[in-house]
Amino acid sequence: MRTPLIAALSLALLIPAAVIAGDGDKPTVEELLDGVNDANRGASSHAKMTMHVKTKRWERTMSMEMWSRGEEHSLVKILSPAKEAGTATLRVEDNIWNYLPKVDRTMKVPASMMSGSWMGSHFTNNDLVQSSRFADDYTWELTQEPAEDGSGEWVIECIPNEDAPVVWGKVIIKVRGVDRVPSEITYWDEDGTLVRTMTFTDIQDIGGQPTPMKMTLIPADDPGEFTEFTYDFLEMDIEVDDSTFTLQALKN
Amino acid sequence: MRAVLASAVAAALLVPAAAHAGRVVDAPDLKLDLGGDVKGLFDLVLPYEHLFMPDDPVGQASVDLRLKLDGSYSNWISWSFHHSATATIRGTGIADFGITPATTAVASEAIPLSWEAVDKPAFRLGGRLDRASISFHVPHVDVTLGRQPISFGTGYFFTPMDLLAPYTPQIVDREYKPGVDALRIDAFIGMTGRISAVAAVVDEMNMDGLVVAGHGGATVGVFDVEGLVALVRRDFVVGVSTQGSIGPVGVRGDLTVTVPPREVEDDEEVEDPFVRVVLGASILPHSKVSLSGEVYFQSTGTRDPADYDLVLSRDRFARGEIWTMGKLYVGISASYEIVPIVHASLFATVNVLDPSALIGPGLSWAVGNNTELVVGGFVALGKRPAELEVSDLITDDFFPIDEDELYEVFEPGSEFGLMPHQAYVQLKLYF
Repeated sequence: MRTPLIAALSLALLIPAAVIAGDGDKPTVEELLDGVNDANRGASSHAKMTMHVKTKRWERTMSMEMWSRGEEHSLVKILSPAKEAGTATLRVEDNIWNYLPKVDRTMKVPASMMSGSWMGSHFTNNDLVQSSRFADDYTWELTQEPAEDGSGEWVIECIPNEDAPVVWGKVIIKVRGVDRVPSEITYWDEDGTLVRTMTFTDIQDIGGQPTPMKMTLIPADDPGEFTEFTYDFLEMDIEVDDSTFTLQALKN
Repeated sequence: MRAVLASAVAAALLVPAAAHAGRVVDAPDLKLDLGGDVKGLFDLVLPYEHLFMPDDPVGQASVDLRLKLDGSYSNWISWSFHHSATATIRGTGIADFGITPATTAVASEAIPLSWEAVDKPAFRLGGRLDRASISFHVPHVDVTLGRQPISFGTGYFFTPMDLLAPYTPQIVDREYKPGVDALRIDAFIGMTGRISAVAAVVDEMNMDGLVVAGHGGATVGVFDVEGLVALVRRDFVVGVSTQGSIGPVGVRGDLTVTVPPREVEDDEEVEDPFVRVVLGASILPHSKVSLSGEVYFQSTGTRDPADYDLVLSRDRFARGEIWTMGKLYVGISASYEIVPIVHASLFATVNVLDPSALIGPGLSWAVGNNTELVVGGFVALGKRPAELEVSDLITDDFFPIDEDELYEVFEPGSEFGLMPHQAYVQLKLYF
């Protein structure tokens, strides 16, 4: 159970990164990339979401409730399936704990567990932690811009720097011109082969910002499979008290 | 009559509970969750050749139904009520040999909240209110009163700090820790500091059944450090534990010192203070593989299997407080994700000085979101007990020998060599 919770915890920090709406003048590429990375940094959120994994042989669904503040504080509680409901994970800076209510056990999660995969989804924990920054760890090239009326997309091709903590050979990011919401990210290996595609859909207005409420990850080698995250509820930039990120909140 | 009524009520609740499981009330202030699980277990004991063992493999099958009603009101009060009912059919003779596998953990109870409708060698139907607690929450403090699970310490295999209903290695189903009757107060300091006070009565409403513990902890860097001071059935126990990471390796450790009472009954011996310590590590060498290991030492055990009878005769062993008879142990476990919904696992608990081992292979398949199938077993390795003849168990006057004489004629061989092999299949359905 540790692995999915860590990933869910990381997801709480990652997902708002997709929410990068903005106003005003034409953004620079760095601003667009920082927007992808930073929309969740320093912000807070409260969400309920559902993860749906489909492979050739099986499907599973998990729902969870999350609170986050900045990138170092988050709390995730599993709501379903019933087997795992009530299990919770807290992250405070570099410390991560799981609470298993059935045995009243609070377990410190070692750093090595962060490298595990996420319960059969097409994500890995390292994806979800997303410690790299596109603007800092990649050399980028703007290959396409939207039209002045906002139609079309920015397409940014990112090549990782040699010392970047990433496994990809190339990442191509598409950002909608109309609202600056990412629409697609493709991940390529070092041989130039497409590995997977993440799409952002179901754009809704959340607190005045256009926000993708559904994210789908499709592996390139098996396009019939996918992992899909859907927000059932999301509020952002809200007041989240310190008490939300405590061992007391983890247990309750 | 009360037992029959209880079982009828439990059965009658199953269908509506399953049909309406989930969050049945989700108002801004009031949350009410109804759920539970049904578990079917078939367990087969494969005996070795010995007078105390049956000639053929014997099995038992059980169905366990747990109904759960959990909820909260306005963030300041919450409650948890779980009722577990179990029907067990045992193969002929298994109970006669005293090797009935303890498939599910149980705990003593100060307040009788269990019932038994049938208790025959071949069939048992009973139940227990395993959670019956109410909690009050105010900023920085939780107060919980009633039957609740309580765990201390960090060990996986060996749990010297787990003072209340610790697991033994042959427990097949460890999903729910049995509830104990207690008052617990938790105070939280900052984000990661905590102090707990627990007063539990574990079977008798007197000092012999009383556990009083103070437990506190803080996070230092990436390590949690905790301390414990407790009075456990007249034993004085102090302990420390820690868990954290060194590089990619998760590490943990518990240490307790137990000081038994100096004043004992006339027919009892004063027991020496003893130390229990466990050190463990866990790592993910690959995204699909997890490994964990522990080394455990207890000064209260014995090196010589011939002295196991002395350990067995101690109350703390009989009540499950300590289940290890030797001094030095190693526990290792490995888990491999074959596919995301199928996991293979293997654990081994080794008495280093016997030497003997209990090895537990297992395979779990998440058939669906709320359905899991588990297949596993226990392979007991080690020197088997010395053979006995019926004549060894009767006196010259043809009367059965008494317990003390039995310990004299019975030569255990090794700790885990005492155990038979076992195989089990368990299907779990959650709602």
